Amino acid sequence: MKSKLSKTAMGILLIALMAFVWQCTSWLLSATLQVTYSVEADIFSVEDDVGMVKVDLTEDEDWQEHRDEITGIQRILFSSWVINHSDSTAAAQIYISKRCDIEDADSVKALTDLILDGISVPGNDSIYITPQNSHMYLQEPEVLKEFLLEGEACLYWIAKEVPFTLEIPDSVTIVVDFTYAE
Amino acid sequence: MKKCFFWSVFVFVMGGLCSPAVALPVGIGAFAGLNMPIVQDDAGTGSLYGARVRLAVIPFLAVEPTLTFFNQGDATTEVRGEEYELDGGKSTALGVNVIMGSVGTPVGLRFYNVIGIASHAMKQEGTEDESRLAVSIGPGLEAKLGTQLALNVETRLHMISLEGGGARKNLGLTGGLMYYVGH
Repeated sequence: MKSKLSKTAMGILLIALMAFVWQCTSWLLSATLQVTYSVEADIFSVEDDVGMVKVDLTEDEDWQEHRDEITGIQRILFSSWVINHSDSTAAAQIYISKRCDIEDADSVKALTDLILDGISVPGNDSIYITPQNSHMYLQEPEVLKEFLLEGEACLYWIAKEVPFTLEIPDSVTIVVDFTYAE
Repeated sequence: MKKCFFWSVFVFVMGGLCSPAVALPVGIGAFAGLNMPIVQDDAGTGSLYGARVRLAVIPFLAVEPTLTFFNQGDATTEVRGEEYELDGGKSTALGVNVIMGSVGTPVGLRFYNVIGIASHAMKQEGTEDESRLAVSIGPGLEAKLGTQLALNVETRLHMISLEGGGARKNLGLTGGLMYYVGH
């Protein structure tokens, strides 16, 4: 009886050890990949004609090379100028969606997901969001990760206050740290 | 590749078990060195340092509770023609190593193998703080400087699991001092 038990314990231990070694092997074959994606088009955003930019990571050569091996996203940072052409301070926001045909601010709020908030831009002034401080504005990193894991999404810039007039020169640069396993 | 890795681990473990067997005293030590990322775009070379206690279980086997502080170097990325340093992150690891081979012997130069498991409390700007499991493996070399003091160098591959799958791989090159009691 005792011998049978010890054989069972040894068997379980061996299986656990093999599973552990197998897991280590998959870890050994993984790496992190940093993709920097830029859209260089000036866009304007007003209440009835919101500014939108399409992000398409699938255009990136590194992404294409590892597209079937990507296991997750570790970090998303971004960089963008935001110019407020209104007289009063604007609290700029960025929303994300699969849809790229939304035109007004109310529809953006109703149909898309808020990912960045609290970007306060004084009247007739501008701010530059750097990759280092961009994480302070990120509201829903998990939502953003879900969209970017699929490679394509549309970003909309609006402000909480209406009316608003925002200019986003050179749109946006997004830095995404992927993990992949060969 | 996976088969190759499996057999490499097997040979490594058996090699450690077959090293000259001697009784081990208790060692208290500290170490420091380089922490080099392997195939990681988002981190640069950093440092690591820590402390450990080496306890004999049987002559050729010791366990080693250890506390290690890992610093990943910053990664440089170019955005709109300007270079930015992005935080590579850091972690505090509490773990246990298993030492296979002859360490803490009264005299001479000795080789040993290390397998470790640890919990890493990870921090990186732009990510949520998280706790991740890690394993490490690698050889070490110890030289006695007297009856109780020893100098050791280790090369360890640290694999820190990541959410969603995969792991960060870091090569740790460390040097350290160990003070043995119980001779």
